[in-house]
Amino acid sequence: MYYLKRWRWLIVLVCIIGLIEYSPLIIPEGKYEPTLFGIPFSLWLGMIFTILVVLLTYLGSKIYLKVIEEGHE
Amino acid sequence: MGTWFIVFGVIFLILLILASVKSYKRGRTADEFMLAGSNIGAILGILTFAAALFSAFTFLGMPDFFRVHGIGSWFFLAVSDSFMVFFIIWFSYHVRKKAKEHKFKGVSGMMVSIFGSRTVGYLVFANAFIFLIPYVAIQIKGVSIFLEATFPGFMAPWGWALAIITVMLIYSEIGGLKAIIFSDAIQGLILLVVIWIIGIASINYFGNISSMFAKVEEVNKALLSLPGPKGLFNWQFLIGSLIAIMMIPVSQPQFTSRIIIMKDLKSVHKMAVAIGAFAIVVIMPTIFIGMYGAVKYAGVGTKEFLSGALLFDQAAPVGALAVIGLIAACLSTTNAQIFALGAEIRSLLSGDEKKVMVKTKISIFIFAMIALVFSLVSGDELALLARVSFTGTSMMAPIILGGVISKSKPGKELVILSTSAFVILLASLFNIIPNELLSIKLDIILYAFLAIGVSVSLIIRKYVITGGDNDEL
Repeated sequence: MYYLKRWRWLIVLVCIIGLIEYSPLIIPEGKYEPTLFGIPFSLWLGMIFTILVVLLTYLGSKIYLKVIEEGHE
Repeated sequence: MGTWFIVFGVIFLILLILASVKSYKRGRTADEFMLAGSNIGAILGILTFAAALFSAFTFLGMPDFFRVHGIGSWFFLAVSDSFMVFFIIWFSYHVRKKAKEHKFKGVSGMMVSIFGSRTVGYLVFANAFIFLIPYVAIQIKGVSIFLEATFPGFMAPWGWALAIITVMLIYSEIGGLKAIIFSDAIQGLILLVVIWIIGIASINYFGNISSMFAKVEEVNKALLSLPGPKGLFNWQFLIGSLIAIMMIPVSQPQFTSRIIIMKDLKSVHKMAVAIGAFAIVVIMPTIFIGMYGAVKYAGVGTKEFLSGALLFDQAAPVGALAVIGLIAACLSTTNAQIFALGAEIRSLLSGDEKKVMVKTKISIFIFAMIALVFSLVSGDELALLARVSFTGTSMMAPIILGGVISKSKPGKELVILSTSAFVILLASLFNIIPNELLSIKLDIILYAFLAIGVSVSLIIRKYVITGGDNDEL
C-alpha cells in the first residue's frame, strides 16, 4: 500500500503539471516575454516542464515496479 | 557532395547487409522472424522505439512545422511525447501481462482472443491499415521529394520511392524483425548526429540562440508565441494532439509490439524514460533549423526550405550524411509500419505455420506496393498528415485499452464505440460530414464521447455486472 499511495500521488502530480502546462499560465496568447537567454517564454517553460515529466517518468518507473511487487496493479 | 554521398551510402549499405546477415538464421521459427524472439534488451529497445517514432516526419516535418507555425510545435510533439512515456510505465505492465495470457502474435489477434470475436480483430487491423498506409506513404513522399531536389534530373520521385521500398523489402525479408531493429538502431544514431550538426550550424548562422530568436522576432514575432502566425496551436489542436500521441503505444501496432517483445518490464521502463529524454534531444535541434528557416526561407515552399537548410547550406559531408540519415529514417519507419501490418495479418491467420508465413510475406509485399502508390498521390504537409494518422489509430484505443485492462471479457459496447468513432472520423476526412460542431473540432468531440462511453461501460461492468470483482479497472 505504501508504494501504491506514492504511485497515485505521482499520477495526480503529473495530471496537475499537464493542466498547468496547457493553461494560459504557460501558453499566454501572443506573449513571448519574459525570455530566458533569448528563448521565448512559453518555449523555455515548456522545456522545463517536459524535462520535469520525464524525470517523474523515471521516478514512476521505480515506484511502479514496487507497486507490482506489493501485489497491486 | 556526390563523393561523400557515395562514401556514406556504401557504409550505410554495408551496415544494413551486416544487420540482415547477423539477423538471418537458417530454420528460424515464425516467431523469431516476426517477433525477433521476443528478447529485446533496453538499449536495442530504446533505439528501435525511437527510430520508429522519430522518423522522416521528425527530420523533415518538425523543422518545417517550427518554421511555419512557430514554437508551439514543441507543445505539439515534445510535451505530448513526455506524457506518452509516463503512460507507457503503466500501460506496458498490463499489455505485457495480457500478451502472455493470449500468446501474442499481433494486436489484432490478441483482440480476437480477448473479445472472442474475429470481427474485432478485423476492425483493429482495418483501422491500422487505413491510417498507417498514408503515414508510410508520406514518409516515402517526403524523402523522394528531398532526393529529387538533391539530385535533380537523376531519377523521378517514383524511382526514388521504388528504390527505398525495394531495399526495405530485401533486408526485412532476409533478417526479419531483428534486422529491422538493428537498422533502426543505425538510423537512430545517424539521425541524432545529423540533426544536431545541422541544428548547431543553424545557431552559428546567427551567432547564438539569443540573436537567433531576436532575428525571428524581427521577421515574424507571431512565431515566438502560441497559437502561432496561422493560429494552429489553439487548445483544441494541442489537446487533440496530446491524446492522439499518448495513445500511440496503445493503437499503433508497431509500438505495442515493441513494448511486448522486450525481454522484461524493467527494460521497457528504462526504454520509456530514455525515449522521453531522446524526444527532447531530437526535437530541440529542429527548433533551431526551423527558426533558421523562418529567417532565411520565410515564405518559400517546404521543398525549397528543406533542400536549402538541410543540404545546400551545409558543408558537403554534412549534406551527404543528411541525405543518408533521411533515407535511413524513412527506411526504418516505413519497414516498422509495413512489418507491423504483416504481423497483424499473421495474428489473424490460423493453420500451417509455413503457409501462414507465406501469406504474411505476400501481405507485406502488397502493403509496401500500396504505400508506394499512395506516396505518389499524397500531400507534402508531413507533420499534419502524421497527426491525422495518430488521431485515426487512436480511435481504436477503447477496444485495445478496454481489452487489456479488463479482467473479464470486455463488453461489445467498446467495439460499438470505437467503430462509431472510426466511421465518423473517416466520414469527416472525406468531407462527408463537417470536421467541427459549434466551433469544437471533431476529434475533441470524439475523444470526449469515447472517454465517457468507456468510463460508463467499465464502471457498469465493474460494479453492476461483476459486483466489483473486476478490480483491475
